[in-house]
Amino acid sequence: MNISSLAVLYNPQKPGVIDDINAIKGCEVSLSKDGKAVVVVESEDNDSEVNICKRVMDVDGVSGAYVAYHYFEDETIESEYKEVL
Amino acid sequence: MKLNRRDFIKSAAITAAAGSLGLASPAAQADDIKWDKAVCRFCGTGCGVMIGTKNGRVVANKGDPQAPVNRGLNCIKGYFLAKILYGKDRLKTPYLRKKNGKFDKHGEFVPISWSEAFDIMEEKFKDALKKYGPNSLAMFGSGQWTIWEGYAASKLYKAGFRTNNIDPNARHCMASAVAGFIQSFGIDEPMGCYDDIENATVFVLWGSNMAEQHPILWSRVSDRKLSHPGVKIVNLSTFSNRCSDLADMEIIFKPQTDLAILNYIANYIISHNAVNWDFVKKHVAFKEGPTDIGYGLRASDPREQGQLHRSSAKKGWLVNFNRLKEHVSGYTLDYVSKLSGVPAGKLQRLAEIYADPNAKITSFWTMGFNQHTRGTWVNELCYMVHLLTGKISTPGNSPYSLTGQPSACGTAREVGTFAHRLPADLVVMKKAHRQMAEKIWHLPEGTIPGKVGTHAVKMMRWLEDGKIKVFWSQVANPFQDFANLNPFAKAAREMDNFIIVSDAYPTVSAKVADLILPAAMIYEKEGAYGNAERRTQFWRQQVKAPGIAKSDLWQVVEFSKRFKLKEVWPSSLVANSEYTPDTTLFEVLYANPRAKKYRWTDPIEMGHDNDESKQYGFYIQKYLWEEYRLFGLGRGHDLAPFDAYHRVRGLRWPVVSGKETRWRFKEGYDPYVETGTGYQFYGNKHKKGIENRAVIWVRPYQPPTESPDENYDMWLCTGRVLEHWHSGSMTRRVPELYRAVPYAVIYMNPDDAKERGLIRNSVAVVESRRGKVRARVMTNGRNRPPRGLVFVPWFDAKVLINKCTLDATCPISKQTDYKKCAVRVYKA
Amino acid sequence: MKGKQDRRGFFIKILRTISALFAGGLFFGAYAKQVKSEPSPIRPPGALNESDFIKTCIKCGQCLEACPYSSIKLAKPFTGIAIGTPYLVVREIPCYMCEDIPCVKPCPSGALDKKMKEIGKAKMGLAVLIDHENCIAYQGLRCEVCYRACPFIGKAITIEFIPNKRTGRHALFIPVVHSNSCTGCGMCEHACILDEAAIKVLPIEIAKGKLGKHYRFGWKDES
Repeated sequence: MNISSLAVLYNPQKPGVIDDINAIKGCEVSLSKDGKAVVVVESEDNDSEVNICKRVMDVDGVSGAYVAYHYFEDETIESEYKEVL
Repeated sequence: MKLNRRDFIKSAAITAAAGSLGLASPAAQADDIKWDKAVCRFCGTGCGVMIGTKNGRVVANKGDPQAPVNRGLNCIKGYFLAKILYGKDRLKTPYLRKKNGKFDKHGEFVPISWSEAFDIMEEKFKDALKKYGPNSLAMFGSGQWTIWEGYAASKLYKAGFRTNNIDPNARHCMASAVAGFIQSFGIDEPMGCYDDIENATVFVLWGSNMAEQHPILWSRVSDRKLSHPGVKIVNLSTFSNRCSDLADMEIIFKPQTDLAILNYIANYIISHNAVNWDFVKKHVAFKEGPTDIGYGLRASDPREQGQLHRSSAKKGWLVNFNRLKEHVSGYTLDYVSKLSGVPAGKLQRLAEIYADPNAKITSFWTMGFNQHTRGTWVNELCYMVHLLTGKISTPGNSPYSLTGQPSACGTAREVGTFAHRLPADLVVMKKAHRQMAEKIWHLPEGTIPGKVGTHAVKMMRWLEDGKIKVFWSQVANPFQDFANLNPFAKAAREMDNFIIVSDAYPTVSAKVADLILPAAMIYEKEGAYGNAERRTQFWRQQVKAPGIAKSDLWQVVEFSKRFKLKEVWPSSLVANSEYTPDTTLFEVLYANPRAKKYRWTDPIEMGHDNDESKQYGFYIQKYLWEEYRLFGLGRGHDLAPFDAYHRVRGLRWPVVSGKETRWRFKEGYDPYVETGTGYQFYGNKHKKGIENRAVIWVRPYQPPTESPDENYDMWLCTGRVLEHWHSGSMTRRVPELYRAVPYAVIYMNPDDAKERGLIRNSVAVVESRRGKVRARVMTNGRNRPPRGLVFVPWFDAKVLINKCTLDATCPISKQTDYKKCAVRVYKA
Repeated sequence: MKGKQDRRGFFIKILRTISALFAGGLFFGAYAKQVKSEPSPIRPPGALNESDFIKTCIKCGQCLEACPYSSIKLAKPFTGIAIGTPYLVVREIPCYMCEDIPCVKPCPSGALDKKMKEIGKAKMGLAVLIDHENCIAYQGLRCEVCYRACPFIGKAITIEFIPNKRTGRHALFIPVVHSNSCTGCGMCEHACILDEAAIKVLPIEIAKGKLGKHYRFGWKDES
């Protein structure tokens, strides 16, 4: 499980930017206001997550995007606990 | 858990991004919230709360400023009450293990309807009844049941199915306290109340980490100390905990030696002429019992060999004061100091405190005493110290057993949902008691079996032995809670049996089950709890349960419709009754003519919902309450009429002539005590030789069942932390509490850690003869064990520490000792 | 583990590229100057003082790779933090105070000072209970989550007990931070159960007041 959030700057005058981002599989715009948007990215693995991030940056009208938070399933202790029963 | 965590992470992700952009997260809009009084869901303190609802959802909560216990305050768990209902993985529908469309013990969980759930339950119950008889059924209940839920379940099993195989998780929590009260006073529950806190001059904590486990009560104790110079606190424990922040003296003793310390205190009191003779002569009797009583293990265990009084452990005979004097004279300061590892000076100071005639002493204890292979004894020994000095039943003088669960008293103990009990301290072994219950329940004589049912630990062993075929658990998480749980969980998953778990969330136990029933949570039903000061508190239904989740009351009552008397009772019994063979248990136990007199709707509900009563057309909770109340009236267990509790912030029983009782057994406070007597321990009113007296028991120190040795060189003690409640099924679903304490750690002495090559945060294995778990090491956290002891909390489903614990019990109370077993700890 | 490495590699690579773009001469120096006036961020344990740190750190990201908890981030453009330098956002992931201090060991530049042998001596910042009005402990609720989360419980954070005048029968349990023991690890800010943490780790120069040089507290020993 990978979850990250992108802080996105976009041109609010241009229609459809938010819809275009939402249309990317695994992306969900959770907040947007005055040309700033928060996009949550959920993906199965790291490669697809990186691809999704790139696609958001490529959306027409997006002027900037950076990863504000990223989380990946901690593979140290958690996975060592086997499912209990 | 997965789903919940995902959401938690997502919200953290959104907050992070929004913060960096200077965007505000959408703010909650307040107002037009409807408020109503209720009770906190968690510990036995019983804080009053106000629940705020809007559009059918609990959107807010606050401490109830009018509640006498907490005056508007809450602890951190209470702060999040509104959130516990809305974990993302709330169970909203029943689930059954299925393969190819049919029930299969090795199948996958598939959502089903209630009628299908009851179909398979009916099939399994009837099959077991037919092939193996009623004692192949068992129910594991809870001190978190509402009062009428416990009462209804008890009726279904004891009267309906005619088995006493029903026992609550309070067995793990309060059984030793109950046995102590019954053995010493002949009646259950504390004589004092929380007002003792504002009157005591000394507080002695015996294995009670109140600072974390009874946060609001501890806040009252703290205030007492701060506001009254000279008030002292002594903290006795097997490891250093946060109570020591305020304690004047901390006493860390070796596990199990509390028995010896109490005997030493009695020795000091007697040898220093500090006995309150006036009190002792008038109000105390002395008894002694057998000592070869075993450890509550299976009979085949080598440690049980030669223990001749395993099954008659609570037997006793009258002795005199000189016998006690002679017995305790062996517990010298020197001997006890060596045995307990406590410096002699500290022990002596503690004894001086108890012997001081001017000190008003409240001794608090919780699981340190109760979860003890000599739990009943150690309860009794504490009463001994208070009785010898007459420090009892008066403001500030109180040997006080605190409960851990919100209704361990109200439901488990007062309703008597134990394998041997009936409401109001009646027991199934006594014919007269059964007859009284049969009369109140309108049952023919002989309906309730006289044989004690399986207590909780035996239930699990019988599951393992294939004797229990259908096991139903409500408001509990047995497959996380039980000590030594590996073999029990294996039996539940692999043997020929049927496991039903009613819960609001997919707990470890739900995952072990064959059938999961979705439960309504606290404010989704009308309820009543009884706290640790005998205070009974009611609340109304505030919102509806999600999906088709239903209250435990509804589950029990609705299921009873599936049974006709001819299917559960012998024909001779039916013939003696006022019913026909085709009358259903529903009509006998719940929807009878007496019940239907309580009409729904009722003005006391103030327009609130009540899903059960609406469906049945009568006020079922009110009926059950008014019937249950009959058991205690005039017998020292008097409860007020139903409506009264909806009007007030709880009442402490016995409630006689509309007045509550603060201190029992003391003239002037307790209406049951006759004028001119001073004190009457009327629980023993009719007991020969000890009429109206309290009993001091002569009890020795005995070593624990399992102690550290070469291979398993450390003590393991388990318990809770403030942030999480019990097995964490609710609090771990509150993101903020999850973040505050995300996982269980191994609290360990830094020197022990160093010796094992461990440092803070290293992953280590805790291993006993029964199982092992992995967790991170904490060497300088909130709990500071002495060398040779580790403390691991049990809230974490990923650190199932009860795989390691030993299922040894007090042979009298049958309560498990979760505080002592031998483990080794090493680097993972 | 592999995915984790790849993943980190990706971000580090991007940042290195950006750093390289900016670093072509004076530009980066100008940027560094600009951030100097901003409050310094929370740096990993053992970091030199902020101005020396920015000059010394070569933005290699090795501390980040060594951190077992992903506590350390590398600064991205326009965050007000010198680009590519390591810092912590403790509300998200605090410093878990590894006793073996793995983040300092690989530092090639000395920006994280290897002389720091004991994690308890770290001074990443200072926790300050900023918002008394919203801190529920000040209202008498039994919380003190920050206190119990503190890896130096009883030293860096202690509890002050004050009678609750409103109820007349309870006590307030007020968490108090002690700057001589607080490492700024941020466990307290991370654990705070409010929607916005009432206790926050601040850079020491912002958090700390300074007594007039001439004055001494008369009741305190002077050694």
